[in-house]
Amino acid sequence: MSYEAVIGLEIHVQLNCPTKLFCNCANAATEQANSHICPICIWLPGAVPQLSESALKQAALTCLALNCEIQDESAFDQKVYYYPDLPKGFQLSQHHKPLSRNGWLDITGEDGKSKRLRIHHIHMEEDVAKLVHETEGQARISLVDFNRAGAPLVEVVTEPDMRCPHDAMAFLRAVRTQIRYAGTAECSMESGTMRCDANISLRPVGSEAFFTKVEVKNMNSVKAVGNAIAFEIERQSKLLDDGQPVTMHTRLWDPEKNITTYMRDKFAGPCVPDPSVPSIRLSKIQINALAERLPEMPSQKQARFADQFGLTEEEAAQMSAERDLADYFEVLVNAGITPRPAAQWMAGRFLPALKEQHQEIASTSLTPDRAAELLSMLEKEVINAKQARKILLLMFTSDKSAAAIADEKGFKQLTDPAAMTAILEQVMADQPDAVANLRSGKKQAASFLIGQAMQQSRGKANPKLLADLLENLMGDN
Amino acid sequence: MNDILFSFINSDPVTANSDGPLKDLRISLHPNISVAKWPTDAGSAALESYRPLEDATVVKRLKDQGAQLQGMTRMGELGFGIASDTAHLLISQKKSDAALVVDTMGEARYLSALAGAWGFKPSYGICSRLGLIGLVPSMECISTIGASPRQMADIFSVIHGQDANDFSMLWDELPEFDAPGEKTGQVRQAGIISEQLAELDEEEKKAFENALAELGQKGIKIKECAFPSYPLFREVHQATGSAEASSAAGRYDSVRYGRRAKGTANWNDMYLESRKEMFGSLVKSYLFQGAYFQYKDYDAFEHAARLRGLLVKQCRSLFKDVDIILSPARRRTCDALKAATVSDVYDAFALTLPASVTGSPAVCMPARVMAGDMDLGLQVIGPHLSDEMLLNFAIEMSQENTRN
Repeated sequence: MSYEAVIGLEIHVQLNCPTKLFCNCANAATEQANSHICPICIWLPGAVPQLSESALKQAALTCLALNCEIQDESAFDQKVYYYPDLPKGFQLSQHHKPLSRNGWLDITGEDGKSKRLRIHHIHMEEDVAKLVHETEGQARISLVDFNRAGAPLVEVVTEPDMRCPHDAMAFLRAVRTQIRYAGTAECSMESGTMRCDANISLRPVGSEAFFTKVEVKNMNSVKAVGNAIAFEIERQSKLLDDGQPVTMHTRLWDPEKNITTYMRDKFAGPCVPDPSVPSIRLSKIQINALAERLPEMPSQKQARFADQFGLTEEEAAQMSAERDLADYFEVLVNAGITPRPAAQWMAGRFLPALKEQHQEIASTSLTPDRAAELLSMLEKEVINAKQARKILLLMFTSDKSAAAIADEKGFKQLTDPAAMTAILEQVMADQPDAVANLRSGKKQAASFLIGQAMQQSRGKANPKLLADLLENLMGDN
Repeated sequence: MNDILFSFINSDPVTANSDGPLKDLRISLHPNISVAKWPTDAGSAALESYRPLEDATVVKRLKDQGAQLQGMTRMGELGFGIASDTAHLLISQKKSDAALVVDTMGEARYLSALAGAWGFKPSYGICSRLGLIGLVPSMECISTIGASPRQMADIFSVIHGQDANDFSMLWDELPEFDAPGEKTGQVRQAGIISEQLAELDEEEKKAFENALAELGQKGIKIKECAFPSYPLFREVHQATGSAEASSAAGRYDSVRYGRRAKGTANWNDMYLESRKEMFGSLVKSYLFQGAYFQYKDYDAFEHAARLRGLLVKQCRSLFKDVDIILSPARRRTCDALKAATVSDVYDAFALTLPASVTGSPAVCMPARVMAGDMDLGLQVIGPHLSDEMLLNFAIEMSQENTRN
């Protein structure tokens, strides 16, 4: 039988926030275990949680970035969960009254068409402690590090709108882009500041009802989420084809073997409202004030780039994909570089070079104003494209200006028509066959001749000028 | 140091501020109110060897005002039931002037009646709960029992009020309470609840009527009020209280404190076996009841929460007609000291549960509702945040209404 997958995601995002969710301890990774702790976040008896205003604002801003509606009232529940990383017996989470509901993000589906994926709700919750397993002599011991305990998280719970691994990966990337734009979280699956569980079930194509869902955990990259879902679709299809039931449980993704394995039965702890954390009411005025803190978001920026700078849809999408990238691009344009060549240079030259240098766009040694000088020299034909490529690489490791490097390397473009005509005449004399071909209408012979002339000039000649001169010389003869 | 009445005796009860206004007050505490470095075990093996890092806010405030903190009383396990409590004995034997106790079902009021002393449970949300190791966070209030209402008022004026570290307190401006005993004559109209009256036996009724007659002589009018939802108080308290308790007690895992079962194979078994060993059967039954609502019938819990809101509303409208509501504080026949089951405990506190459900303040006055030589206590409930009026009324009634 042919099946269709029904996929929903639960995405945990660790918020950028100076403090933990319910105390003033620093919300920062640190080597020294149990150095950012207090009676509240090690959950001692008698402690009373103190909801952090900045965490609440970051969470609300995240909701707005994902097009969710902040609820008039939200509240925390005690979600029962027994494990040594939560020695309080419950996690403070928003089960009954989440901070926001009814969000959405648009992705480009596998068919290239835009597809709107809905977010059921987003709620806040506290992170748990970290367990460190060691051996002491013969004995295996587990140690608890509370530095992460109480760190502020939001959980994004989607509607089961995704149908294939591509949808899930595109959605995760879109979430990451939106949240990074809002500046409320790092969203790195690799470093664990974004974690994703996937719920996957199948149904016969054309059917509304679906079979039992299975939860998959432990994917530490966007690609791993795609791979795990693909594997799970395959596994469940085989089970169904063999007439075996799919049971509700949780599976672990094994990135080494590229398979999922049984972890445990699905457990959902009960939740009772927590009487100690006051309920949260954000007024329309407060929500509007927060919304004003949201920067221009990717889709708005993309539209503006296309409209204002004449970029193609693809170029505009590329230049608005990351906030730092877009900012860089805009500095170039504001410095007078023509937008489309600037975008093409960034995509084709700058980003690959940046990757090679292991640098980040926000902190690169090649600042956008330095790059603007380089591009300006290229545009004014002071240097040619090949020289520009060489200077670009040198600029990463040197703090000299593009002009200084060009001087140093003798990269000034040859633009003297007399000297260039001399070179061309020499080349034409050496290559009579090519000249004859050109005369008989074979256009590629011109490229060959210009290439030869470029070689003669040791790369310094301006190829466009050479072409003009060649045309003149051919006309003269 | 160990003692029959004290679970812990403070060898140096004189605080740094030995000239503070409370310097002459000897106060003992329920051992579920945190005092830094004192064994604060809430009467339970689950907190065996637990010593808080910080003082509860109310303790800090008492110390700052020079009160002599004598030590910890004994108390029912995790504050559920008072069978092993000693706070009332410390007062009746004059070993303490006052005791700070946690009132969740009516403990402070019941204990004060037992001691023949005064009891006061403040409005919910005006005394910090920071450092209170509780079981039912939405009901419990740090309360006082003491030999005189004046002392009770002095203690309350010190411990109540906004605590920047307890966000669960009321945000609105709290009523001032600086000059206990200065206002008189605020209470003119008292109400009694027909449905509650109907539950009393003849002897209780007679004792209560005598107390009412005495009040009548002082010019207080008595009015009988109907409260058809009255029987719901107990159901609502039990469903809400047990579910909150089950969730709150989830933290007792024997890892960092508390008695740990020996010879278990893994952490899961250690939790299970330790919890089996550490809790007494009364607390266990209560936690099981709560777990039922958590796991099997959450709708019933939600229903109880809605009914609680309704009861608060109905109570509020009752107070449009009367200044206070009167009742005995305890039944003659249901002895909380002998309560062995959850039902027994609820039977014993039947008359005090309503103020815990609604968060209303209540005072218990001694020697007025006498069934033979048994003091049933006169419970006076006021509207939410009428604490000042209640304490002034208590001072007025104690006829020691002169400042010196």
